[in-house]
Amino acid sequence: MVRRYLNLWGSFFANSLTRDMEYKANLIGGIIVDIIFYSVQYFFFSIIYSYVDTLGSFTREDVMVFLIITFISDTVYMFLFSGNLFPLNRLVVQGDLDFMLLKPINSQFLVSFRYVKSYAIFSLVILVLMLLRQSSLHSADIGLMNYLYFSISFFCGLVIWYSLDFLIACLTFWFKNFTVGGWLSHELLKFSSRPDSIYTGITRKILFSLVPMALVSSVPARMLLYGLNVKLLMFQITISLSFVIMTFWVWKRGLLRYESASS
Amino acid sequence: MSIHIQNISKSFTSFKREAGLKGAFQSFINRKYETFHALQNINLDVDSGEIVGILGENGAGKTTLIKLMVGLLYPTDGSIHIDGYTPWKRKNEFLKQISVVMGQKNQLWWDIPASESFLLNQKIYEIPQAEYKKTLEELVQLLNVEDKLNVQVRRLSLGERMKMEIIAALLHKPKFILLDEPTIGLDVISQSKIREFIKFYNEEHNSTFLLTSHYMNDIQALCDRVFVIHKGHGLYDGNFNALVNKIKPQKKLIFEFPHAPAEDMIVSLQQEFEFNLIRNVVTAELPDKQLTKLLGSLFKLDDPVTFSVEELPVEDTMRTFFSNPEKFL
Repeated sequence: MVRRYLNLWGSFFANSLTRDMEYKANLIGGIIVDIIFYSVQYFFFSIIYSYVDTLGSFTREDVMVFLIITFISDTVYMFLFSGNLFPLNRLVVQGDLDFMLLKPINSQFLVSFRYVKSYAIFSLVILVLMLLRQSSLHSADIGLMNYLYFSISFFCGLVIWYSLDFLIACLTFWFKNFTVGGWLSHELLKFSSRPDSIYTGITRKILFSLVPMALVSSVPARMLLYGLNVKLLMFQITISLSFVIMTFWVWKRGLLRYESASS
Repeated sequence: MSIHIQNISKSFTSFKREAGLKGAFQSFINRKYETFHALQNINLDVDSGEIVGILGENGAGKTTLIKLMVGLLYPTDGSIHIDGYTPWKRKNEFLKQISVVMGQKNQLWWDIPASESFLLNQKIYEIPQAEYKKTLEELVQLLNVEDKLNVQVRRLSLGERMKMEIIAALLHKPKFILLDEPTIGLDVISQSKIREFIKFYNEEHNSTFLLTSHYMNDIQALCDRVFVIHKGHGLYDGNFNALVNKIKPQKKLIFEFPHAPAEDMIVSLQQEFEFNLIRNVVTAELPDKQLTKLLGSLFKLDDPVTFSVEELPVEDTMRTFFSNPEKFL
């Protein structure tokens, strides 16, 4: 089962790459735009954070690692999901979901993974190299185990982000046309691009439970920088599992309301 | 695959409002919903290997019925069983045995050649490589698109694109195929090729076909049996030619005399039969028996230069039917 779906994803990737390569300028332009975007962001935040010694519990060098992790989350998300979840509203409103529902595979999988933004892989490679470099420069002793905990936590963070985005996109089944959902996701994303320690009070509670965007990048950064925090990792795993289960349920409920569109 | 549809109904809820800004405001504050009954108590049984045409005007409920049969929609009431499967449960085993071609929607990826989408379908339907290759070759040859396989879909003509859609739909050898306006927008040659292909495929594979089309020539060429839907109700289920004869049992006679016939003879014949005479050509639209009698009488007057007896255009007949279906049934 897992092998079949991995194979299928491989086919989606091959198809998307074939499609992206049909338009050379667009592909090369996409890679350049991504590199410029992350460079500008990195440069901009480096300047801002160079004026402060600490941000919440993060030191200046922690923040640099955190920033790169945020960019990696963003790129992986773009690579896997950005071409799929944002257009869900159009698929539902225009009835284009029809052909996806007729395929003998899990429809949520198909809707979530069918298009891979293939060229994001170039930015991803650059960002991973940047992370390795930044970690090696960090004063903390970052060992292999840190990378393992980071990977688990990073995966959970991605699951949380996907789930939240997917749940918002599914609202279109109830509201018929909910293009604002895409923008809502975009705004929520901003909460994950700031260190969790800056949030306090009720905001912190919300960002760790109802809208757990604080768990997307900050927790993986903590795992990498400070090593395993069992309580925090277990909490993140629980939240990611709860959210992903919620997506299965909401998707099924949403499909009950799907009306397709007239021919 | 046999299909058993029992008392199926489907309603949609939508809101209505008056036109204009005022209507938009009123609707925003106090939205008024209404229920639209797209289908009501539809019953239909289809045997394996049949080609059944679904007829109805725009908005009659044809596409809704098709979407219920493939499980895209959930019914408000009633049941559908297709070889023991309930469509809207969307079991993979069921989905592997069906296929839908929608004339107005694409399943192929627009920016890449159709062959790439076919490869993706091979993976999705788990078609073994040898079988995939054989089926693809067979379909490509039958539809005569060998040289178009590696052309971007967006660069294909409408007819070529439809052929590729049909290939994509048949690669996994479905047993039950639904065609929703498969020839829409195509020129007459492409229409006829697709018709020939469907007929051949049905005979070769004994697949069950359900077809909706506004082109009555499609229906006439492919379907012995039709199911007529009118305003969400099943109105007729039976032989297509029998329906046509019921609506307009006439045939058209054109009889050309060598010279204009004597006027008194014509006047006397016109008392018995309804026909027109322009110069020396008689034209009449009459039921079979009357037409034979008239023909005999005309032969008695003189031998013709030429004469013909034709079926009336089925498009015209069906147009008459849909203007007031209850009148004929």
